[in-house]
Amino acid sequence: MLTRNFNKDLIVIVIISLFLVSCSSKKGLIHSSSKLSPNSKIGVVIDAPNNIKNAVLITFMKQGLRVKAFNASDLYALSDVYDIADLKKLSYNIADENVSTLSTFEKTYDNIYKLHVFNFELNKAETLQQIRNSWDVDYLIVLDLKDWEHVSWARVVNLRTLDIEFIENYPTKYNDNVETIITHFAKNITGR
Amino acid sequence: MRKSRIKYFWALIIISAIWGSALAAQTPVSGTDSPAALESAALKGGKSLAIGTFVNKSGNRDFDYLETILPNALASSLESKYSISAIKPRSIEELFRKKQIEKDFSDAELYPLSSGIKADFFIFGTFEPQSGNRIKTEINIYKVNSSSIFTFTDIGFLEVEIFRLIDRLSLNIKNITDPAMHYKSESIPGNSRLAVITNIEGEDLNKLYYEILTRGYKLSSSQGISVKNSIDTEGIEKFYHISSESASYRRIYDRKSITLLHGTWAGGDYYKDILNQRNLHRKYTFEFTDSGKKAYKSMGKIGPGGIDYLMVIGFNDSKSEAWIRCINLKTGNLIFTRSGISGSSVNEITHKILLNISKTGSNQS
Repeated sequence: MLTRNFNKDLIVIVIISLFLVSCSSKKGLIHSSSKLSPNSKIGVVIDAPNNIKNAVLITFMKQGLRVKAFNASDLYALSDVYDIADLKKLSYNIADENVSTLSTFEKTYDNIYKLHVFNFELNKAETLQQIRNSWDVDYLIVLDLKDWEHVSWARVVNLRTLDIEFIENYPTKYNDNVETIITHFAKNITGR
Repeated sequence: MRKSRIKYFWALIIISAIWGSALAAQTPVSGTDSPAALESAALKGGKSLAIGTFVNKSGNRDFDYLETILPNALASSLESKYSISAIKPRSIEELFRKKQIEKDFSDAELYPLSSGIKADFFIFGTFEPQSGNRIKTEINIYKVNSSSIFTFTDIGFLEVEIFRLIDRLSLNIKNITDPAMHYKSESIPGNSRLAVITNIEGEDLNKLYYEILTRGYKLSSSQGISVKNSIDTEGIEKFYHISSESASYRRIYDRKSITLLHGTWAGGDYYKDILNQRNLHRKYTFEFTDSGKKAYKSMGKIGPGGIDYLMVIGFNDSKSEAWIRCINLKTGNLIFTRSGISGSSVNEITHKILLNISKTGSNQS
C-alpha cells in the first residue's frame, strides 16, 4: 500500500516538475544603463490592435510616465524607403546578359542594396531626432507582447543620445495579461 | 521505512536531474570559450598556397630587389612557422610566361589562371616604399577557382624590421586562408559606441544587444527601434563581401564583360537607358569604394557622439552559426572579419565575437 502511494506521489512530482520546467524553458534577461525619471516623456511603438495599445498606454500613465501623443505600429520599414528604381533597370537588363557578366551585375545589385541599408539607417536617425524635437519625446519604448510560453520584450531608446539604454526579455507567465506585463516592464524601466 | 527513504532519495535524484538539465540549458554563456578552438582543426588541414609576384609600385628601380625578397621570404615564413606548403614564385612566373600575362595583371585574369595553379590559394601583391624608411604592402589572397578575393594592406619598416613585417604578413595570410577567414587589424576599445546591422529580430536581437551592453559598450539604436527586421538572411548575405580602403573581401568583376551596345540604329531613349546603366555600374561597382567610404562617414556621424564601429553580423536561419564584418566608421577601414562562429544560442555566438574583437593584439586568433 505504502509502495503504491509512493509511486503515485513520485509520478505526480515528476509530472509537476516537467510541467514547471517546460513553463520556464524560455530565459529572461534584463539590462539597464539608466532609469527613467518620473515625468519622463515617452513615445510607445507597439504592433497591436487599438484596444491593446490603449491598455498599454494607460498602464504606462498609471506608472507616472508622461505618454506623448505619438503612436506607431512600427517605424517605417526598409521597403518603404527602398528605392527600387535602380534595381528595376538592372533586372530588366540582366535578362539578356550571359553568365560571365553575372558576377558584375550581382556585385552592382548587392552594392545598391548595401547603400540603401546605410541610407535607411541615416533616415531613421533623422526621424528619431524629429520625434524628439517636434513631439517633445525623451524616450522611445519599443514593445512586443507575447502569449504564455513565449517571450515578451521591450527596449528603451534615449532620443537625446539615440542609444539603447534598456532591454528586457520577459517570458510571459500563464496568468499574465497586458496590464501585468506592462506594469512589470514599467517598474524595471523606472526602477520604482 | 528504510525502503521508502531510499525511494524518496531516488525520487529526489530524478527531480534534480530534470531541473539540472533544464537549468543547464539556460545557463548563460561563460567567458571561458576559446575562440582559437573554432579554427584549430583547420590549421592542420594541409592547405597549400602559391606565392606570385609582388610588384614595385614606386617606380624607383632601387627597390626592385624586394620583388624577389618579399615573396620568397613569405613562402619560407609560412612553411617554417605554420607548416603551410607554399609554391615559390618561380613556378608562377613560368605559368605567367606561358599564358602571356603581365605581372601587373587585373582581377579578371585570375579565373582563367586557376587551372594552372596547383594550390588552394594564390597570393600576390604590391609594395610601395614610404617616407621614414617604411614600406606599404598590399596583399591579395585569391581562393583558386572562386570569384572572391581578400585584400589587406600593412605598413611596416624596411631593413632591420622587415622580418617583423614578414611575420605579420604571414600570420595574416595563415588566418585569412583558414575556413574562419579571420582578419583583425585593430581591437575595439571599451566604451566605444557600436551600431549593429543583422538579420535577427525581437527577443533574439535583445540577446545580441544584452551581450554588447553588459560588456560596457554603448549601443546606437539602429535596428533596435523596429519591432520587425526588414533584413532577412538573403539580405544580410549581401554584406558578406565588403570593401574598404585598407582591407576588403570582394567579388572579382570584369569591366570588359559589360557590353553596352550602341550605334546609328539606336534612338534617344535607348541612349538614355544605356547611360543610366553605365552610371549604375560606375557608382555601385567600379567606384564603389568611394561610395562606400561616403556611406561609412555619414553613418559615423549618427547621434551626438557619432558611432565608432559598425558590426554587420549574419546569422544562419537556425541561429547556430554566424559571420561578422566590422568597420571602423571613423577611418572607414574594415578591421575585423570572421566566419563560421558557431554556438548553441545567439548569446554564445555574440559572446565569442566580442571576446575576439575586444581582445588586444593584432590578428591573434
